[in-house]
Amino acid sequence: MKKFITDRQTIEDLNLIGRFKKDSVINIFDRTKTRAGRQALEDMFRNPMTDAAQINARSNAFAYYKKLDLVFPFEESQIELIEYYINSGASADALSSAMNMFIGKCKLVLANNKAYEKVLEGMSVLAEVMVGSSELLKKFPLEDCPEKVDIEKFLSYMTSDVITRLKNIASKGIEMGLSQAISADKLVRIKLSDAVSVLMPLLARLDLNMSVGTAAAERKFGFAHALEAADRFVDMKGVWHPALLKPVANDLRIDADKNVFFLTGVNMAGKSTFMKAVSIAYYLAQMGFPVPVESMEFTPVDGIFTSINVPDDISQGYSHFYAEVLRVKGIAQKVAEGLNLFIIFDELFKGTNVKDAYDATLAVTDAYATHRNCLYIISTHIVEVGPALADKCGNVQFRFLSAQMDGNRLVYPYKLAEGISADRHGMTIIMNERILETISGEAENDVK
Amino acid sequence: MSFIIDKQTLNDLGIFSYKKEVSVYALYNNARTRGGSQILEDMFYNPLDNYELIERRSSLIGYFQNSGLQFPFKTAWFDAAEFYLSDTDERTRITAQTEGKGTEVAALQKKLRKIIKTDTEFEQAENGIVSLINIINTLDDFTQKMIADKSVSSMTTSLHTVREIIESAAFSSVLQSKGIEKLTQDQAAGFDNILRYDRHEEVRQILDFVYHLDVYISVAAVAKSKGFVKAEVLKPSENVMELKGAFHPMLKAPVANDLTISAENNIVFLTGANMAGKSTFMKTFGISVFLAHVGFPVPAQSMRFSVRDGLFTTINLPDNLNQGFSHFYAEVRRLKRCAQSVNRWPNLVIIFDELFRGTNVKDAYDATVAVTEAFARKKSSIFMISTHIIEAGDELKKKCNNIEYVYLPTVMEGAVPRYTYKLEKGITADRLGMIIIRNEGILDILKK
Repeated sequence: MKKFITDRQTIEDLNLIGRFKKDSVINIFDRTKTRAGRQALEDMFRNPMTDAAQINARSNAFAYYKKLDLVFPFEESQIELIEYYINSGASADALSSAMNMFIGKCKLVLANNKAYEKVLEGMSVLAEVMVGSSELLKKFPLEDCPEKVDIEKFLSYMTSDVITRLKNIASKGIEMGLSQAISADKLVRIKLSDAVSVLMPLLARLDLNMSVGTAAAERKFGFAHALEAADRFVDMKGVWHPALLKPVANDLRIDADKNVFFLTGVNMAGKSTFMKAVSIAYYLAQMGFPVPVESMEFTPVDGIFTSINVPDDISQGYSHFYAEVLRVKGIAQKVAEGLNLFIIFDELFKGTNVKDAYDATLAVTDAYATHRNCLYIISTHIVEVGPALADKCGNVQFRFLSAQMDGNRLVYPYKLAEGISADRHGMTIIMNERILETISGEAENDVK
Repeated sequence: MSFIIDKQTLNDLGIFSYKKEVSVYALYNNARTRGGSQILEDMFYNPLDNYELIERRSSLIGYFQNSGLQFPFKTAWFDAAEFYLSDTDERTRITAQTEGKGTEVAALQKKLRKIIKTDTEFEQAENGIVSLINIINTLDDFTQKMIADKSVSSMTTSLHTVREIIESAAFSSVLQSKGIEKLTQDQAAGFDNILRYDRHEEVRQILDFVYHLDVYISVAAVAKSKGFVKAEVLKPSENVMELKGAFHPMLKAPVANDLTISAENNIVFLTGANMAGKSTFMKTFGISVFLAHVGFPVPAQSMRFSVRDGLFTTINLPDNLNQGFSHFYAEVRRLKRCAQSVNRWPNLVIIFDELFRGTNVKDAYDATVAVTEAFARKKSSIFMISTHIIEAGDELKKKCNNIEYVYLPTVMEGAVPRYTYKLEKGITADRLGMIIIRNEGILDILKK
């Protein structure tokens, strides 16, 4: 499988990873309780896939857990105790296990060595988790369950007799006597060793899957279907930005016929948010994750690159501008290599004057557009680029986000419309406020 | 009436403080006395709009700058004197120890307390009186020197008032006690009566005069060390603002610029790339106008200016951009306020950085042309307007004949643009974006 490519700026632009970052996408999904689960989640965020079959397989698995909508019932502290217990006695024969228990007990009595108590505690927690797991897993509809094999195998060990004995061990805890401890150890460590070795990795997977599943259920995320097709495309219905409380959903289709999505709109109209929403959706889709969409179909790409202008960065001035140009160049090289990419450029060349930005945006967009195996969203506030681009390339689609006057206030519907933005609210407001008349002094007679 | 200025302008120019930058006030505040700092602050808060007052203050500072006279007083004297004078409670009045037998006991007690050094009250009073005697005697010498120097004419009124006070009979004992360090009870009572009660008003006048001296001398010293010059004041009717070698006083290595504004060219239309230094130049201009009206030396080689009624700046801070439309709307309201002011006060200086940034280009173009054109009819005020929409300049050239077009250039050094920060006549034609795109060969990469 080809490795998915992206870069740091894309991950930053989309705020994908970062446990301690507010509104990061990973935090929406991260309800994991165990270290292993969290680690697996982060690995998935760092390594989206490029193969449609693999993407669909994982996305089907998450769809199962979304439907299941059950919360993982165990805690990291329990898993830690169990691991301590399992690692405390490596031997698999009954005699040396019993010897270990005996020596532990002696150390406790003679030297107040607490390790023995911790072993007992770990054993009873393991018994408790095994009982709890068998109760949990019995609720799983098995016919389409991705973990069907492991679950059935585990449950096969959990006969009613075993469950009774495990319950007994769990309830006694560290209070149990040495002979009872030796026989309990024999049961859990030796007789049920296969069940335990199935269960532990299963729990790590369940932690991740149930975390993602419950998040998807709560957020009402949909699933994306990946297709292998010669002509690249993405089709999203009702895509929204997952960090927003009251998001507006939009539809879009970008395909080889119209592979350049040219977006215009005034500053606050929501261009950046829309582009982030689409990019996040694409990225999550490539991970096989639930996606903030009603529905989505797409061809997997080899990578995603976004260049979403953060207004504050203007203050970094030229260095930022130049870094951005170098990045545009780097992406151009990847495109020229023939990679299939999804590319977002937001307000390129903002640091220069309008005429220049116009020429630059037009030239760069035109050059990129010829590579039809890539899908682009390009935004600008220089609406004049639109008609010029329409003349030059037939594969550009035009959409805009509008702003509307509501009395003296501007409102933003955040809803995509076809065409190029023609909002002239600046002038409207200047007229409404009678600025020109005020300057000339003609507004003196206005009712104050 | 005083010079009209508002909070936004003070913030834009960093007069008192802006973010973490050093304020203009802090730059000038080198006063030795607390009273001096206070007067300096008052001067900064109340710039002048009166030709004679500005001329008087600025020539005085100019006099001290040329004469190199040092402030001859010790800072500690003023703290002691102010502390002493602030207590006007009758009960603390120092009494003489001559009459009556009953007082002998009190006098004896007093002597005793003095021996064991517990009479701090008396000591503080004594310290205050001695300090005032020092101040008045030092001032006597200093003012005699000033009078002997015929070149100081503008301070004559207050100088003569102070001389009259010092030479009056009431202060003869003070002059006779020059250099005294210790006072007897009787002496103290005598001085206390004069300084704190009978001639309290005159003493305050003397201190006020000294505090003003402190301001003039310390500002002159700052000006001398920083290379600031006295601005030549012209009558309001002329509408001239002529700067040679003006620089931003807070920058470590500022670039100096010339600019002449006259009634024939009362609008400055400023263009340039983002980092070319437009805002800095506008601030430089604004600070010079402000300081000139405070009557202080200005950061320039020379400056000639007609006294104006007020100064309004709206210098766009990039940070505000992410407020988007609300920022734009605030700008429009600001514009309206300026429009109203232009009609209320005939001679204003108005600075607008990057008008209509929040709207689209076409809109911003129309608005910039319309507003600039309307302002251009107000020939008694001065306007400075910057924009990145250079096309507005071409249109304005057709419509108005009183606009001075200047720009801050960008020169390419290989692939890296360099900013000269040196003002040039005309409208910028920099094609930074295209140059870099060509240099980096982005289009060629995509054509492969």
